Amino acid sequence: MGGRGPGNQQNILRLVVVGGGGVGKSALTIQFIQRYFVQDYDPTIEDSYTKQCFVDEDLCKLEILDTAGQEEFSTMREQYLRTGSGFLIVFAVTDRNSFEEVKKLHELICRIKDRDDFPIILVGNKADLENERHVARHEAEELAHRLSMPYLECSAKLRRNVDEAFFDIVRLVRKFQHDERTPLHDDSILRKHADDSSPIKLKKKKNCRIQ
Amino acid sequence: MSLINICYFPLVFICWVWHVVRKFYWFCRQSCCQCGCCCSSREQQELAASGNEAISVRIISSSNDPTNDRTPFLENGQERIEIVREADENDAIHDEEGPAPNTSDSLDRRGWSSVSNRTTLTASVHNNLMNGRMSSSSHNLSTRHSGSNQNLNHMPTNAYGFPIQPQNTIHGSSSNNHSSDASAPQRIANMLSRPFRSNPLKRTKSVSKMEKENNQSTLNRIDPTSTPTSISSVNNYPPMPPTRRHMSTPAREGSLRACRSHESLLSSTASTHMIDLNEDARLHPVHPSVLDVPNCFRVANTYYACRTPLERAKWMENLRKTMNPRRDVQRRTENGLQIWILEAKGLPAKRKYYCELCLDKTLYARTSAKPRTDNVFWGEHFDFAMLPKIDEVCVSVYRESDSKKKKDRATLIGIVTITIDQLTSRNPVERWYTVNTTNDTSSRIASALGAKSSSQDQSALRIKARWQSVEVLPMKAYDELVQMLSYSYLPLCEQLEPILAVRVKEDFATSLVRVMYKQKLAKEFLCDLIMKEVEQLDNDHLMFRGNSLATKAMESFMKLVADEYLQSTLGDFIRTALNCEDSCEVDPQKLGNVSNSALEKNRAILMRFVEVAWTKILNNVHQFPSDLREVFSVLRCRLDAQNRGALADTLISSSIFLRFLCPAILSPSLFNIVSEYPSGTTARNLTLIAKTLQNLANFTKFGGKEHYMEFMNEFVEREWQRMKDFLMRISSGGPGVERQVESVVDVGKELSLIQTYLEEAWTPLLQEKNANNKSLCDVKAILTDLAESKRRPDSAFAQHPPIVHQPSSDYENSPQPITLPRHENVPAYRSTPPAGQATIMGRSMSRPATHLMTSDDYVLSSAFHTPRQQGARLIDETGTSSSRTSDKTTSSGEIRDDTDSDAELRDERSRALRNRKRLPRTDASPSSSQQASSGYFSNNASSYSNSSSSSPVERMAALSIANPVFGPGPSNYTIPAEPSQAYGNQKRPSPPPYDPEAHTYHYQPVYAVPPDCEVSPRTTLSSTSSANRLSLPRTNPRASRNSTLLRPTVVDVPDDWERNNEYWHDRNIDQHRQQQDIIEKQKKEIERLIRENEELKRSMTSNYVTVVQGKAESKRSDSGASEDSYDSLSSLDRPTRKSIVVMPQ
Repeated sequence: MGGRGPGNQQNILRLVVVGGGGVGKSALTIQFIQRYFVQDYDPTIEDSYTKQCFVDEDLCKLEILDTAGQEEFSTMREQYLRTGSGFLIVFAVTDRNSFEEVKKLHELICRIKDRDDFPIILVGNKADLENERHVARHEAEELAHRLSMPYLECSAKLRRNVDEAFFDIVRLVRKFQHDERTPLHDDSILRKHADDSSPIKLKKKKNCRIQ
Repeated sequence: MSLINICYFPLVFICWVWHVVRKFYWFCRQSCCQCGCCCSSREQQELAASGNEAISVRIISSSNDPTNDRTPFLENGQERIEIVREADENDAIHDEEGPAPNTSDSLDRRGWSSVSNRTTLTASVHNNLMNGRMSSSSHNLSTRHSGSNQNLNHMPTNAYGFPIQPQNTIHGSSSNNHSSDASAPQRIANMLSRPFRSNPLKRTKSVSKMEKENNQSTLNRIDPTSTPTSISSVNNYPPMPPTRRHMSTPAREGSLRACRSHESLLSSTASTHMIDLNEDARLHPVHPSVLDVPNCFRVANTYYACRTPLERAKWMENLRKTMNPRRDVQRRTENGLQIWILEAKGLPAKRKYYCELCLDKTLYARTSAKPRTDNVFWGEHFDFAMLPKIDEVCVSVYRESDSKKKKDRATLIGIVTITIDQLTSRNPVERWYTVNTTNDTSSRIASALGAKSSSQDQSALRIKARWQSVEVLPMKAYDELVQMLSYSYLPLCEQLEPILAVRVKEDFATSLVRVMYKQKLAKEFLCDLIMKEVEQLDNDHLMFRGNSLATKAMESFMKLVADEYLQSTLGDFIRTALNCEDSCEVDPQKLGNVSNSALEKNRAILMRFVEVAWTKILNNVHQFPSDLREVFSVLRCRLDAQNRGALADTLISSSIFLRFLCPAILSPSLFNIVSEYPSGTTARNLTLIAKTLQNLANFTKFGGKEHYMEFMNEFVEREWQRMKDFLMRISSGGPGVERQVESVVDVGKELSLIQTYLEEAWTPLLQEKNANNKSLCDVKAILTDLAESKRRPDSAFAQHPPIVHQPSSDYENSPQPITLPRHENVPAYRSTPPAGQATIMGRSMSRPATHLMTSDDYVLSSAFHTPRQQGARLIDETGTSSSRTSDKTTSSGEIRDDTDSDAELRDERSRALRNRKRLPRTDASPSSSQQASSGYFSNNASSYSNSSSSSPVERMAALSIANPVFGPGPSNYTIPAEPSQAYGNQKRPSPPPYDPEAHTYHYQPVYAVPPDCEVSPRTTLSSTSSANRLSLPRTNPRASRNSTLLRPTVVDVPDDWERNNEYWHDRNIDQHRQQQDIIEKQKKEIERLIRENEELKRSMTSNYVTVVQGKAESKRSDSGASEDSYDSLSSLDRPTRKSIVVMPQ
């Protein structure tokens, strides 16, 4: 089952950063990975980064996918949403619209994963621009609570809460995978097994049975 | 039908018979396939080379055919062919042998036409298709080669040398080119279908063998299934069975061959079939996956293939209007289904899977076949419009047959049935649907999955879908809405921006843009909206990056007008890239352990891809849609005017690249380039390509973010300049190619949608908020009116039936009582004869009043409307600035100055233009007497410097189009079935090019008019198009509304409209710039003065008043340099004047 095989999953975590256009997904990611703040804003199509770090004294290898915020690229979402093991939904506290998109993204992820809950964290970026704030903190918290995900306010510019956001999601993913492992593990083993053996023989057998 | 037609038939028939006979003779002589084979390679080359050209098949026959014996015939045909040649601009001919292009061309064709039997004609495919016959589907081969199936109508006629009217091939008035070959009942239906049936090239053995050979290598996706379905009786064509073999099933060979007999060739001549085209006839586009031919549509069980999507849209639109000419005066329901078949889980990993999508048992599309990886992922999107009412959507999952076993068929795995009411919602419904497996397969799957069929293991399909059933009222019901939209789109959008959710925003913006497009206001709308957003942004970096109404509107506008451009620019490239197996992954981490050389190789591949894409974009700049170009250039001008010219490049590049070209590269399926969702390597390749292009468009280098892309920096840097040039070129007006592509928009539907959106969004709260806003206070009333008329039964509309001699199909052309009484010099409306009254009565349905003469209601209502109009006009200036001050937290005086000056700029410019316009207008009135009341027409014509139609005939035609008063009279509208009588005698350029904004009533009859051969196509084309253009002042919806009623001397063009529109349309860039400069200077001067004023005010010295007055006067003389600018500056003037008044206190 792809990257979630028991072998990989302790090491490589695929984190996907999603959110509206211009909310600072790339700034956040770059601040986390390369520790500097990009002033310029150039729209991202899709960038991927890798980083190894210790979270709670466990080494983990992160593969972080920084995505496009523009709706125009939404078809690509299908691809990366399916492969991601943890998501950061980012909005800008200065941009009401981006906040409105959060719910939709959350819904999308849950549907694609076909689960009610999944490791997702809500990140309100640009928290340093307090005077331009359009989304009150309590609003965001309320929404996060309703969708049962944690909420963090960050500032990529000031590097406030950046690492925390990523580490939190790593913890969430770990917890989730730990919880899921038993059933998922069984499943995948079974399925893998079935896949390997099924091709033609099974079919023939079955035909016989039916006739 | 007409005499001409009748004259045609004998000739044509003889030719035809001769041809058939000759062909048989030829067959006997040449042992079937050799010839075909030997020419096929050559042909292939030609085909491959010819790519997208309009005439893609250029088979240069090695003239071993006795062409001389056909000279009489050919002479007949040759002329026409040349006409064809001339008329087709795109006809880039690869003529290898001819010395002089024109003559050789026709010669070549002559030769070709005689040899055509052994060559595969592209068009014949279409013809067969159109006939529902795929017997010669092998012809597809050549079609495939030619890149895109283009030569729908040219080719057969060329091949026969039949006289054709090339313009119909281009413009989609369907009938004439096919009048050639039959003595069938003369009905439109037959005209449509006849020619295709007569193609003698079908089912020849040589052809088939040849194809077979070629097939094996190149073509493996011919759809077999359509072949047997309709051999000669098209009418009995059953709804396609839901269970059919997949297209790449090898077994199709057999089914193909089954119908290749020579009898069928004969039988096709004998049987004439008839398609009853009435209102009930089903007409809908056909998804390419059904027949494996792009751009098909279906009418009453017959399939037609068009060259381009646009062409198809036009054909369909014309057909629809012909089939139901009263469409726009009736209430109707438009059904549409958008569906994404995303993925399936719980399927055994075995071979590939595909889905078939059936709506009420009729196959509408299928997905491509995908292997199971994690899940089976298709991610394909289908959009069906013009659907009948359906009850359920049925998606059946198939496992593809084993390509190694010939007899293996695709296996039905299971079915998902979704009732339509599950999908009827505002937003697409996305969920997992359990696949109902057949008994047989379920157990098989269960066993394949290890006999464990827990609920989680049940196979399920993730489908996202939305069913839209839009009730569209008669056009006139929307008049007020349209008016409100076109006057106050800006405040409206401003109000809605914060309320609408992203998805609704997209829908709303799309519909609005389309309506505006039809109103000829798209440019104004877009620019205003975008500028608004630009002004509100304090961070330039964030410009145009979010998902706002402006960006959404821009996006859908580009999709609307630039589709052809996109197809011609990147279509081939993307398809190539998709078929490319090579990976161009350049991220060493993703590559894992590979040698340096492999990395280098990938880099080279990527570089090549990007270079090709970029070159294609650069080279195709001449095809850039002029609509879009104008929008960009206006944006640039306005940014320049605000001293933010530096932003122009960013804005334009983020429009065209970020919102259009790059998404198209990344998800070609969304842009109808391919239907398959790119997967794996190809997706990654496309991503890398798009990334590089986007970086180029951002004017940034790689590095920082992704180091492995740094090798592209050299390229990026090198191309910056060219990118700048490109952005400049697509945003400078200039005398570009006047290729006005008219996209087809169903305004009624869009308006109905807008109504729905507004009803949702326009809360009482919002209404309250805008109660004092002149432009928006009516929204509620309008919506209530519409809701009311929706509730009313159909009879309410039927009360005013065909008196509707107004071309009412398009509200643009329907009379507007509101606008009439505005000018004193207009002959009073009261003096209009009863006809006018009737029309008005017809239009008054939404209001209680019916009579104009009786001093009440209508007069009242119009009187009521007049102030509103002015109010609406005002908001342009006042509304923008005031509202902005309110919602802008950091609004600074500086920015406000910008808007003010901007509004003034416009004001000023338009005034200048109006002045310019005055001249021709006064000219026009005398001429009205000599030219049967051409007053209105010439007035409008005069606004176009290129009014080329000078011949009385053309004028007449144009007039009759523009103004039914001058046409054959209202009677012809009532009998749409026999239209040619009315027009037959008139020397009228035969089929006018499709003009969506033109009145149906005028056009509709024309389709049936036999080709008027004497008019050379070139002139026909130009004259009709110019006629159309002129007759419908695109700039002024209001004015055109009047056209139906107006007396010759009536020139009623409301000031504000003229102003707005002239500004946009007659704009001469240079002059514009100059004016801007002047204004800019003056503005600065005035600002300076104001500042001084302020200072002086503050200092409050004793002799101060006089000084101020002096200054003010001097300033006034400054600005008085040109009368126009003086006027326009009045608003800037105001503060100073005020200060003068105030001071003395």
